[in-house]
Amino acid sequence: MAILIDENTRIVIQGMTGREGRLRAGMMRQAGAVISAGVTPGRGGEEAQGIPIYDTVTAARAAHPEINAGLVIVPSAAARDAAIECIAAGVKLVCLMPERLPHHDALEVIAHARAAGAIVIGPNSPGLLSPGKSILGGLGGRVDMMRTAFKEGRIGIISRSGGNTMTLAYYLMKSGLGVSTAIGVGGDTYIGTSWAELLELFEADRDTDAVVAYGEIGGVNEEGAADAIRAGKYKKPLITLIGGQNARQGMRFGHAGAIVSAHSGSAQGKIAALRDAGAIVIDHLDEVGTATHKALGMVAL
Amino acid sequence: MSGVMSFEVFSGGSVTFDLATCAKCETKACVVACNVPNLACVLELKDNVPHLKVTQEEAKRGACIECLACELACMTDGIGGITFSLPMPEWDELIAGAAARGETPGFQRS
Amino acid sequence: MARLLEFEAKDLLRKTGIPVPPGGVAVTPEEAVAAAEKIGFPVVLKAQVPVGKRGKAGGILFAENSGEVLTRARELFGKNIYGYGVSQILVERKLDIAQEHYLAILSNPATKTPTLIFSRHGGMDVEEHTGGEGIATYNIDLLQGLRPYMAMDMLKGAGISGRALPALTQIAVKLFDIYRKNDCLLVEINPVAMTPKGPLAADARISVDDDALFRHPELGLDEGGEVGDRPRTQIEKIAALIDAHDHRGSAHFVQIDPDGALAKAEGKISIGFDGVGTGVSLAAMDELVPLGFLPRNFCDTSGNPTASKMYRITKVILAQPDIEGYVFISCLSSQQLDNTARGIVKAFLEIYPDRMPNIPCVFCFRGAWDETAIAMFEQHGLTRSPFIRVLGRDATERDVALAFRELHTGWRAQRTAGAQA
Repeated sequence: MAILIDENTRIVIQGMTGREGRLRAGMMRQAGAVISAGVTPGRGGEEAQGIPIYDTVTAARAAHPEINAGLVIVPSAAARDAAIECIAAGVKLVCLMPERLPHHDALEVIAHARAAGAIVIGPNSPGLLSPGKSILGGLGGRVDMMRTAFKEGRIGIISRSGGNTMTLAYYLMKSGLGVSTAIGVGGDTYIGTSWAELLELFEADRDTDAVVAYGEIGGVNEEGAADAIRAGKYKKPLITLIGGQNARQGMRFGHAGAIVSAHSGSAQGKIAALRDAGAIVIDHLDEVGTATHKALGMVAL
Repeated sequence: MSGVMSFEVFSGGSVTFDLATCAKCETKACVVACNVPNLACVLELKDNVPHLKVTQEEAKRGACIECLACELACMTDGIGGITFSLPMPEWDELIAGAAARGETPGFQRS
Repeated sequence: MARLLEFEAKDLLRKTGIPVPPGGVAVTPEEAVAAAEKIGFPVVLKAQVPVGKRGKAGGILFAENSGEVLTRARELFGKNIYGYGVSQILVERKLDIAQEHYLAILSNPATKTPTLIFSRHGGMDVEEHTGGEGIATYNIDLLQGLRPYMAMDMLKGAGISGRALPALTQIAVKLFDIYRKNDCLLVEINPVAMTPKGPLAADARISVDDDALFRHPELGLDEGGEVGDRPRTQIEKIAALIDAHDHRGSAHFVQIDPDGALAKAEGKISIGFDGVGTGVSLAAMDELVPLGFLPRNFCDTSGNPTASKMYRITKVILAQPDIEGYVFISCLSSQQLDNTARGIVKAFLEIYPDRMPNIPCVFCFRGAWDETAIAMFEQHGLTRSPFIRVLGRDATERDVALAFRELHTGWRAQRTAGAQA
């Protein structure tokens, strides 16, 4: 098992015929993803990389009812409509890669997902990866590079940073640990799926023993995760690092979501909340392997 | 062979090849460096000097990915026929005005 | 986020049918007098700067007659408020306020919805109260929008009754309309002044999503950028231009400590910084600061930027005054680090033709084509300098910070020795 994506994942890619789409589809297939269809309005009936193209997601699903995951890689100005179309067509997992999506568009997509009971990852997500099973998006880049960092295993990864998802996986691998599912939740303030929701999924996954998470200043994800632990919705070890402890209030750091306001979002507040709930907060990224081993040892006892 | 071969790049700037120099170059390292799978591959050898495989417009639209591999290869393995010019007038102004503001740019500090 | 000035925000409110006090904008003291005489005394003069807490910085003054308007307006036009010069003044009739409320709609990261917020106690320090007593909130379902009954239920629950109830409900619904039509992060009326004639928006704040400005040319706004409540520095403007001129990869550059005052105050050493990936950049900063090095800037060059973009941004980072070093670190990255390195190398070769940097520099390349990137420093003679160190895939964020400290210590020692000789 894994969460959200596994060997049974069947993918539709919106924006499949563009340069980015073709490149992405090729790399995903090398990594073991099964892509059933692509969608580009006006290009129905064509093929790209040997994958059939449809005009709409509904048409793609009519021909491939097995489709159960969508990947949106259209330009950001078109991403909202693409994602809502995918949800409306009945796809229950949609990953949005575009960055700089207007945040009202993200909030609209999230409202539609809520009503339909769908899960949205992103926007500004690098994707999801269950090593050896499937990939939705671009985590890890080229497949040889991906394999130097991600190996199959029993640790979940949640990360607000695409790069740090892979960095964490690499540190885990060097300490002998592999990954069940890694999720780049997206660097924006307004994202479809919060840490707390993912932790609940990891809690239910028999093949995940612990979760490591990279958090940073801004937003309320980390605080929400602390609440989920306190509420007993997640009981496995959570090992986290919070970046931006030395960031200054009011400035935005790279990710649109990495901003500290006067009242919330500070690294210190997040660390305190997580520690108080019983999560393990590490001070150095490279400690993640040893901290995870230690946490699992404690659980085994 | 004399004169120059030159083209503009997307971000604002140009690459200029001094063909008299390039003709004398034995390695043509720039052409080799450009034709690597993950790079642009816009240069070829024609009449024993570097030549643009794509049109000037295509190069400017982004066919030249401005990887600078040609110029850097020319520095180490060629004989200095290439100038990859990437102007930054605002930066030049910043540096020129530093003294008047009582500042020393980091790279000029003693 | 981009922020409208108060009078621009009030224009939007007025056009939507939310009552605002009578007023006029002046760009000279004489215009302020004319505006005041048209409105009638007493008046309030409000500096138009895109930043909160103006009152505390002396940006809001009152006047009883034309003579006072002239003096106070002259005073305001000469002021600098949190880094912003005053070039426009809003002249308004001073209000007869019975009570001040707070009403806002903001994009709420916790609920992932727009949230309507109301407090019966509006005014200066309401931010300090939010989350506390007397604050009512309502999370708006975007599939439904904000219908009058929803706002009315919420306001009634907050203790509003009588004629104020439908009046405030109307304002809330119109506020939501403004929020949606303009891709706002926040529309806030604080205070909503309850006057004998009904509620008025005495002050208003509207901020708009930078990423949605492309569909609002009518607002005439520039990106607020990443700097928070201060104007961009000259160096930040140059960096923003570099990023804007080429969509390939990003270079997010922001000065944490533009003039070095923070480093001085905390007894830290100012350095230039660049990272590949926001996450690793933040994590690396958190390694450097405890060792005594405060990055003068934050920079994230990720998304596979061109070598030319790297070249330009590296020159920008190195141009910052007083820096005593430069640190570059990548996350374990899938971007083409050979390109990244070529840009850095070209900048260094141009700035330091003798290959001898005047400050200690540490580079760490981890990920795709990292070995090619590292080899390039050697090929171009840069590793001959005692003050350049290039690290590879197995270095950690901590290793990079420690390596920099070692280099910096040696550099300091050599300078001290040089000064004594």
